[in-house]
Amino acid sequence: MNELASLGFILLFALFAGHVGKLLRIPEVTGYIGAGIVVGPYVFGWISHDNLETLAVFSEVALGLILFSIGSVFEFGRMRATGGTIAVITLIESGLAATLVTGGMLIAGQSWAVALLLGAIAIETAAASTLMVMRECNSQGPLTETLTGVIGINNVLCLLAFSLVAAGLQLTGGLVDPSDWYALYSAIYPLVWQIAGSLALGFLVGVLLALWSKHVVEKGETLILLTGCVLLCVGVSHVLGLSPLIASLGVGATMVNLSAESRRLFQALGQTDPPLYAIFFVIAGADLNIKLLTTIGVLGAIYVAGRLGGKLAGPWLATRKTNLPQAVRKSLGLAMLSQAGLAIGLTITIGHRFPEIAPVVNTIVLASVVIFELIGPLSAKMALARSGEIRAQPPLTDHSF
Amino acid sequence: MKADIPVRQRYIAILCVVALVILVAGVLLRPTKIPVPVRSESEIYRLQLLAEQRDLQNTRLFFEGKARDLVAKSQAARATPDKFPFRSPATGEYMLLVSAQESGQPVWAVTAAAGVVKTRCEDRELEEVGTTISIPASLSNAVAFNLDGDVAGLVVACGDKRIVTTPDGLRQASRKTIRDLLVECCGLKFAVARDAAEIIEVGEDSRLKKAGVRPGDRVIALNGQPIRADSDLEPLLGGGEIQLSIDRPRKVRPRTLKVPAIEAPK
Repeated sequence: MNELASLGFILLFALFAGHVGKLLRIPEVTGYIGAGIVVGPYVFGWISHDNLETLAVFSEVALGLILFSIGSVFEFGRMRATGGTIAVITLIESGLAATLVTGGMLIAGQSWAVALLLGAIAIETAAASTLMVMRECNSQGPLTETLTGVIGINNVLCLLAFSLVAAGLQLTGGLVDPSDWYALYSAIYPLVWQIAGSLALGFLVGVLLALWSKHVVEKGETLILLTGCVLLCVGVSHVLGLSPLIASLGVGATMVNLSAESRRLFQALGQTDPPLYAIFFVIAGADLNIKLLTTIGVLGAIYVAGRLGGKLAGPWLATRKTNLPQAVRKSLGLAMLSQAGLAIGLTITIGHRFPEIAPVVNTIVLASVVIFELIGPLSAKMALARSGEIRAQPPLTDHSF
Repeated sequence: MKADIPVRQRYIAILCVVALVILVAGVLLRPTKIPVPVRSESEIYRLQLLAEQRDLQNTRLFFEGKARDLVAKSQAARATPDKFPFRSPATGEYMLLVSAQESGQPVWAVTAAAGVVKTRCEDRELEEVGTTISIPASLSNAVAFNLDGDVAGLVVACGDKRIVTTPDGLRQASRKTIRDLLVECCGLKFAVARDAAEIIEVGEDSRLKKAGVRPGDRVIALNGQPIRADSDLEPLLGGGEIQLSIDRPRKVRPRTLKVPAIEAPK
């Protein structure tokens, strides 16, 4: 199938899967991912690996837009009120998930390198699928607010932890000669560059977007400006070796704090991006190798159990002393189980930097991503329902004529 | 309203400059040389072994995938090997010998083609595609494919071993020989040796038997022509009169037998 036909096929199949999802009362995202698995190269093969490679650009744009939306949570006013709580929750749930996975791997006889890298990756909660479930449910309330903030910081924290662990392993694992300053510098450079550089790029593009948006009135122009800025940000991130996730997050955060037009911009985005997100999740599903589930083994089970434990118990422990409602405290962990994008991206980095342990780490992560991507959206919807934050979808008012 | 919030333009400008400086500095200070990791010789050897193992594993998976595809393709299309395009293998080209088990799982082996030569298998002359492996019994009825999925040959038994032959050679070999035809027409079995055809068996109702030919006779000439190959006995298949010079054991001189012509049906 050529790329255009496969794109059309993906959209129509996603729509069909969304309908089936609604009938089965499961999130549309799960329907899209399930549809992707079915049509992907590992089951029916209607979409080939070549198609996926060509369509990867859509995933990049969609992920950029999703992270941009999440960035809107970091508004100064809101952060002053809830930032402390969100930071504490993120630190505890991430720390607990990382500790449980690392400890479990060490008990299972794995090396420190494998255990620490898996611990760092276990921190990540997939921003895209969680946010899409919140959107689908039109959720509003303290759980939605807290969850959005936690996911935003969580992804930065995951990347930071991974960079720290990777640099630490290179320095202590004998891979870098400590007396060779240049080698030492090469190990530490990615750690600083990925965080500081990505935030700097996100800030600059955000300022550009905020200033220009004052002079843009039409909805069409607004969308052109927004898409252009996000594409620029993702593209430049790739050229400079930065994290497109953090940079896009930075654009959203800068925009929401500098521009009075931010609400209009985010609304315009919300009305036009569903096809892109449908493509993103079907492609994400098609990329999931369901056959890996058979290879998960004991180590995979330890990883899944450790991460589940950390993600479920962490938010509950962290919110005990807060004034968040009881339903939110019980449900927050349940909403944070998804894992995908960043974790998969980090396995590629491990392949380059630690080729000798890559087969073990990557098999565990990629197999467990299949599990978490299938149960994550379901549990997120359940959490939103339990906390009573699901609202009916507003009627469409944006008539074309 | 956000527009009413005083935005400190100066601070934003300063932050923009800082961000720019970070980006420019980051690009300029990027390590250009990839540092060579410190690794002991044994570590390097271990990593090499790992890489080789991975390569071997990938190669095995590649061929296994190909074999599965070919079996699935031929089973889905209910295709026999002659339905696939045939291409004679070049010397050194990979060939995948594939046979399907009853469960549908493929049995396979990989070999390189080592040229095509004529070879004798019992009484047949076949075109043999040389292989770099000894073909196991589990691949007795396998088809040899090249990596493009074209048929490169068929595995056939040749004595106590198995060889790859070209489909063309197999077709030629399966044509009836003079020997087969003589068995059919006259129940005649013989062996050609030392310029004579030694009769092993002759049909009870055949005109040869009626003319007096017996097992153990050595036919040294047919219509005056010496017997050096199977083809020299071809006139026996016709219906005309034939003179056979026969050397019989314990007889001093050869004798001549006249085989009468077959009477045309009235």
